[in-house]
Amino acid sequence: MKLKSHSSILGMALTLLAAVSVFAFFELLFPYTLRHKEQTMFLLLNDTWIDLHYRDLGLQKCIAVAGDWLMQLFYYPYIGALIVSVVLTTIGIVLYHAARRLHAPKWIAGLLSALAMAWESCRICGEDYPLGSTLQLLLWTVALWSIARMLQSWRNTEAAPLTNKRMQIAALIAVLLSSLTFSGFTLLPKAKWWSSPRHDIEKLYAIDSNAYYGDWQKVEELSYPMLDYPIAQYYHNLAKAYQGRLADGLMNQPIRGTSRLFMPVDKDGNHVQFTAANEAWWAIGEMTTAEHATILGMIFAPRHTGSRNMRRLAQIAMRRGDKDGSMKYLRLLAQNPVHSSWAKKQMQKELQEMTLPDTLSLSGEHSATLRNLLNHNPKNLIALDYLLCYDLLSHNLQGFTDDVMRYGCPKGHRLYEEAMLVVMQVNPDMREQLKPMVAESTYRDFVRFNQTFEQSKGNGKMMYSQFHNTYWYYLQFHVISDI
Amino acid sequence: MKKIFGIFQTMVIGIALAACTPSPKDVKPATEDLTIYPDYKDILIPCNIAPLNFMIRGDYDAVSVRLGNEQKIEKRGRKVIIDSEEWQKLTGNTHEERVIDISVTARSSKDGGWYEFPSFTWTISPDSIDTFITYRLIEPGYEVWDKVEIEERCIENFTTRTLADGKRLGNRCMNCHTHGGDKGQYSFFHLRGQGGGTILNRDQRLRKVTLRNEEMTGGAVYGDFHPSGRFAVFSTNVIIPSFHSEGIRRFEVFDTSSDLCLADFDSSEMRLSPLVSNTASTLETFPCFSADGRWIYFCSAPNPCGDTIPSPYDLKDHVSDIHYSLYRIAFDDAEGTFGDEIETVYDAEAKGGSVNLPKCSPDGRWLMFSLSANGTFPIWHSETRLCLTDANGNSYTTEENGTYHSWSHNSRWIAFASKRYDGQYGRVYFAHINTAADGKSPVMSKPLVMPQADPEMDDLNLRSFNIPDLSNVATPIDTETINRLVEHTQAESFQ
Repeated sequence: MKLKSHSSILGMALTLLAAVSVFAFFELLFPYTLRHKEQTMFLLLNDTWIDLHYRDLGLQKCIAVAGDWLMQLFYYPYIGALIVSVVLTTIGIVLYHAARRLHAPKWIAGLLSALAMAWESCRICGEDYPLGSTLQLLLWTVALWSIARMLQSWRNTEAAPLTNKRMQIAALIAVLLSSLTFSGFTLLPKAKWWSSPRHDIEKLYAIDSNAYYGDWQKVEELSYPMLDYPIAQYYHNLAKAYQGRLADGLMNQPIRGTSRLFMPVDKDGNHVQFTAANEAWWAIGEMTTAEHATILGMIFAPRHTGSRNMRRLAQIAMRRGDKDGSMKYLRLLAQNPVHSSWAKKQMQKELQEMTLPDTLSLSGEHSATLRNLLNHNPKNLIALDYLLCYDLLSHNLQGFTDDVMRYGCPKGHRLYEEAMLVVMQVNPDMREQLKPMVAESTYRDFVRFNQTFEQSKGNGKMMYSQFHNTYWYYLQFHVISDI
Repeated sequence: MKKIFGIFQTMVIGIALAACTPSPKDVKPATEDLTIYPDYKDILIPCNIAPLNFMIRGDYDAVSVRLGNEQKIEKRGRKVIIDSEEWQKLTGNTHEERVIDISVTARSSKDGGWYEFPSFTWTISPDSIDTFITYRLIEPGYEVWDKVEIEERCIENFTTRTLADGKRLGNRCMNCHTHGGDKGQYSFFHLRGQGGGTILNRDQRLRKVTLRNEEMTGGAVYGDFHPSGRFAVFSTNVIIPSFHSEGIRRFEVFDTSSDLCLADFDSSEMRLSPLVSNTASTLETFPCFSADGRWIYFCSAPNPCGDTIPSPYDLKDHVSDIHYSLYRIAFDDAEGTFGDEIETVYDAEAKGGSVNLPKCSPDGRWLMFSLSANGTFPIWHSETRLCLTDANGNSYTTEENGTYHSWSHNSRWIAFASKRYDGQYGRVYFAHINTAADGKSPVMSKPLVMPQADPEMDDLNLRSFNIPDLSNVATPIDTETINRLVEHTQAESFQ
């Protein structure tokens, strides 16, 4: 009796340890992975909604909806890790008992459970992986346990008891039968058999989520050590643009080209871009492109929805004074328990009336879009910074000169001064207008750059250590095809 | 004992039902206007349409609706779902217009009181609408898609059927489904990408064809069947998507080059005419046959860049100056050739606007087109109005925003698409066309949005209903057939 109670206390302690470990794993190491899953899904417990968005799943519909219902709670801090911990621990307990009933030694049953929990934890870290798949695994373990229990009861009642060999065959049958039971539910689409938890992706999610919460200071801090990633660079630049410092340090970044200013939405790309791509256009104030990027983010999301993008679409419509457009999304959000209060607050807000002169731009014609914004509102400094930096990163010095002449140039930014010196060298007529905007120290460095260039006969490697973070170096040694 | 148990059972069920079904009491007149979705107030409806389920907007939690003198619906919530059998009784056997009074009483979720709203009417027209409608369901990603389907819906009930599913076809793009013939027995749609082609249905015989020959600058895009079903006329368009910066206009599409061509499905030939094909100085598009098949109507605008095919960058700044006029050219159906003279039907230079999507009514009485301020993509133009011309060339503009219209085969109803509700998601509307008391001018009834089994469907749906097309016969294709055609059938080439 005493042994049994010791054993059950040990079992309970191990179970608790497993639950706490899973909770800690997700809350301490991967909290934003879970939160981002919520941002790219949206569920309404409504027959028509479920039919529209889960029709292709057939029998799996119920389990997918149940998983998504739990997943929407990942919006709240700690809740995601708690839910995953409870579900995974339950899987572990049921699997342990099923294995024990199939005569597996305690240590094997325990190891199996631990491995299953670890395996599923890793899969949950996958971008597309829905919680419904974890619930399927739970159902599978319950089926296994039920069949194992049935087999055990036969063993106890039949005249000829099962031998060990027979028991092994029975275990195999149990696994097969339980798999067959869920043959209709084998694996939800996009649920991979294995995902490696990636801490770098988690950090990108952290940056993206902090942008969602509007904490741009934290976005800048978190993105700085991650500048090897285009998404981190994109957010780093956006965070700086909010503070009027976009041009600062742009030449220090490891990835070249304009993609760090504007992010395309690619179906096969990282999920962060589904929610991130609209943020720059939203900040700049270009609503058509922001809306397009947001809708693309929804189109490529697992179930073609996303609470965060729906919120953004409502905000975009409100910002341009389109009440009917905003109500389309606010009505949906108001029916969701997680987003209801936000949506109802938005419904009470006054609409803005943002009018712009109408121009047409082709897909990817960012300069034209930015110039149109500045024509309407020359005080839009974020748009100005983005335009000037876009000109410079795409080697468009003529565009840069025209834009500086037309819209002005924020003062005190070394990048712009460096570009102006090149313009003055190529076109001495511009000297009179541009020279007052350039600091003496920048001018001296430019003279030094030219001297070194001549001495080294244009050897970029020799100049790298001194000038790699200058626009002159970027212009000279990064050809357009590389960026 | 059994009897007592039976009475007891009935009482329990009765009490439970009474508790569940709210009934109006102490009803007061409403002080605010009734807002319902869809807006089915004071409309004319075809006698064969599915039940007009609707919901009320606002802070209400129960509703009681009386349809005429007979039917009463009492429900919790804000949705009014009409039983199909009861609906049949209400709308069936209509030989002349019949008016039904609809009165709505709703319980406020704020104070629990019942409020009665002024009643409205449904007038049931004896004119039926075609039984089927096809449309493309697509997310408003402009030039990007991931979930596109062509669906067929029975208008008399809520049954839908997927004809082609882009996901099952390697995520390829599909153009909308166009019907022809006196019942809609001919149809086609284009499947883009590897293994694609035009899926042609002529009297249930399916073919996959490539509607292009060496002389043509591009493949077939917008088209229409000749009444015989042997020919179809198409435009070939080099389509450029672009974005508006201004508020809610969002998206624009323009052609840098477009021409007309004719397909002869019997001889598998494409036929061109120097007047309307390979013409760099003009942009021809949206061709359609007249009801008798003797004329081809089409839209055309001068190329703002003269005789050279412009680049998108050159043309985009001129899009606001592109105005399509409506023309027609004779068609000889014995020889299958274009005529040698072009006549002007609607001169956009003189009258203003830009004409798109002409469609002749099957009885030959009317020609309907959409008129927008400029350009060739009216669905994103909120100023677009549906217009009609008669046989004498008199044009009549309606107040209705809409485009991609399709005639019912009795020429009494049209279906059209409009983004009027939220500016982003297209929906299908129906409207009745009649002649005014003067015997000349047309009268269009207030459009009604296509009813859905769940009236909240349009709120919940995140895809547009694109290019609705009416038909009296079901299309003999399904996703399996299309998959087979794509995977195992080589497209027939045309000379």
